[in-house]
Amino acid sequence: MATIIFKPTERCNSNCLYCDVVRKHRTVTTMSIETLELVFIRINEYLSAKTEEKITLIWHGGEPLLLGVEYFNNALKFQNRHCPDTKSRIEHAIQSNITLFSEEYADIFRKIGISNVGSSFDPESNVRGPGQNIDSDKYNRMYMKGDSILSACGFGSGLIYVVTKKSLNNPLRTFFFLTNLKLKGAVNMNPVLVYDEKRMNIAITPDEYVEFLGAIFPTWWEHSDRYPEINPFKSLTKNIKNRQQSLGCADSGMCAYSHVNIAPDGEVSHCGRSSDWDILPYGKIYDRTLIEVFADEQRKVLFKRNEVLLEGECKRCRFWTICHGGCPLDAYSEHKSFMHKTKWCIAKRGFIEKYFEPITGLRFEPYAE
Amino acid sequence: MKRILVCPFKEELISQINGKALVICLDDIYKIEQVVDIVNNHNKLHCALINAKYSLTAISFQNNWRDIPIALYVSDMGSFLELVPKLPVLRQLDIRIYLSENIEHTYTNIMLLSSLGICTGLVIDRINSDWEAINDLMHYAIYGKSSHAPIEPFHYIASNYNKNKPTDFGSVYFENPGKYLHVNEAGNVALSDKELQSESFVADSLNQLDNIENSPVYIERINAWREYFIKSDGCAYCQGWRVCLGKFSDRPDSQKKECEKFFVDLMEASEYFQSRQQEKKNLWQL
Repeated sequence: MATIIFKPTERCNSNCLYCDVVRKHRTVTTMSIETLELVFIRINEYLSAKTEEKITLIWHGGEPLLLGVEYFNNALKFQNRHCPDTKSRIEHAIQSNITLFSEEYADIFRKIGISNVGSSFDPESNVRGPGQNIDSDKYNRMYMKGDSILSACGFGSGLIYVVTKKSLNNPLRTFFFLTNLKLKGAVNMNPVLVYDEKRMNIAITPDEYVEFLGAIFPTWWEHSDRYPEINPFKSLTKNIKNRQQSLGCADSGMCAYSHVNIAPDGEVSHCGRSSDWDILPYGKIYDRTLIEVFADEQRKVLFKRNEVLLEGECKRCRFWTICHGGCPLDAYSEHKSFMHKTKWCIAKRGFIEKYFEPITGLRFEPYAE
Repeated sequence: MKRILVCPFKEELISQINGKALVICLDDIYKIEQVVDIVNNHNKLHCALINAKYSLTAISFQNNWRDIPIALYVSDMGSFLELVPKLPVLRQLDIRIYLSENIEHTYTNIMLLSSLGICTGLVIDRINSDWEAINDLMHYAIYGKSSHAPIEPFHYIASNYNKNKPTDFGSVYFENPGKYLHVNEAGNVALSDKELQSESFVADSLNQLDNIENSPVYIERINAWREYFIKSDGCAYCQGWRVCLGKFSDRPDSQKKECEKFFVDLMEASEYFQSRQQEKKNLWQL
């Protein structure tokens, strides 16, 4: 399954403290209609050649709802026009702040097969919101309005919560807040990723992330039926207790040939992070097919990374099969080289050893690879 | 959704309503047979809501009330000795008796009535509720091994609890705009009794009933719970929110820890109750 992180716009109506996209100041911030059409031509070329493959197109940004309903109508029109025999193998998903969601969006989303919208919310003030002052109150009101329309239209939604320095005061209260807000749907608690000196005031260390999760985990474990879709707890439980290896792109060690990012100016990169941080550029969608992009020589370094880590920094680590050294792009941002594990693998290991295993009484046994 | 109308016992008003389920409010329990006659011509009696200003034992219960659904608020239970001769009739009725936490011995009396097979409801209306006593009553209601009738609002919450949805126990007191609308003698409609009294109407006449769901006031009310998630602290951060929904947010801060503990216990009791129901369903039967 190939995944396209599709960023047709990098404009945003929010100025989230931890976001790299809004701080890039690209010259082209919204993809032209011609480029949008070309994307579907490229998708059709790829799926026609790879008859067993599927593509997930994740609408991302910036804020994709700033594109307007007509833009999505055009996407559907181009999909129908250029992918008549392959469109059944195209799946759409979206990550939006939902502040601009409306009934009109509900109609077009249904038509392109989106039934669930990924969103983001941070209860702490001045982390997420529009304007220089990051007006979280305004954002929260707009979010609630969007969420009510989303819910009235029968859409499911999950949310991403970014754990920052501001989160560390009362993790359990924050957890209750998030799970009260999202009684149905997934909540992902991810650590903030900032690598520039200016925003170190919100950065957290892997140890702080471990303690944040550790403050919540006993409650979650005791009541996992009540709070079923909470990550990273659910995914770890699936991997460790149920022995179902299920890993996201950052931990799978398999992103090398599965991910691609397309930016508003048609620039193709490895993934959302690589695009934000200008790493692993694969050229322009005008010049290269997706088949060429997925076969780009630069991707080999990511496979090579697995070999290097397994013989080096991660040698004999019993968590290798559920970590793989963490996200290679994170590693690059820290070390200017892919050939290192990330500091977040320490967080994963730390959480499992300090909290997951003692509390659950389960021990992680490595998978055979 | 078809909503139930809560309205006063006024024949002229009721004659204007057709094909609805009605909760008829009255003070005098002895008029309930008239209520049935008038309501059931063109509507359906959901229940007669009696706000009696006297004690339970002052009422002379009648055998022919047997098929009338009754919600009875009384000022107190009265003496048990006086209640005993009334029990054979009372136990046959389709009745729920509401007692306020303000009344002396309420918790004991509710347990007593419940143990006698009579459905009861606790009205939590004190500024400084005794959450420990409420919790004890809840434990009796949900975990009690001895046979007893349902005690509200605990039974409602335990039966309707759904981890994927908020559980609004306002219905126990006819306060849930998704289910009940309140109508006054003039036919004005409000989303709660309090709003009816303060003349904050959602519709000026019964003719507008079908459009209430599109009214901005109604939409705002249905989404009112979201306001808790805009504040930087408060009930949205409480573990018990999903079964309380901030109903006691106006209580003093000193109470917050106690009400949280109660609602967390209630949530656990609800999960226990539902697991028991599930077990019952799964049992192989002879």
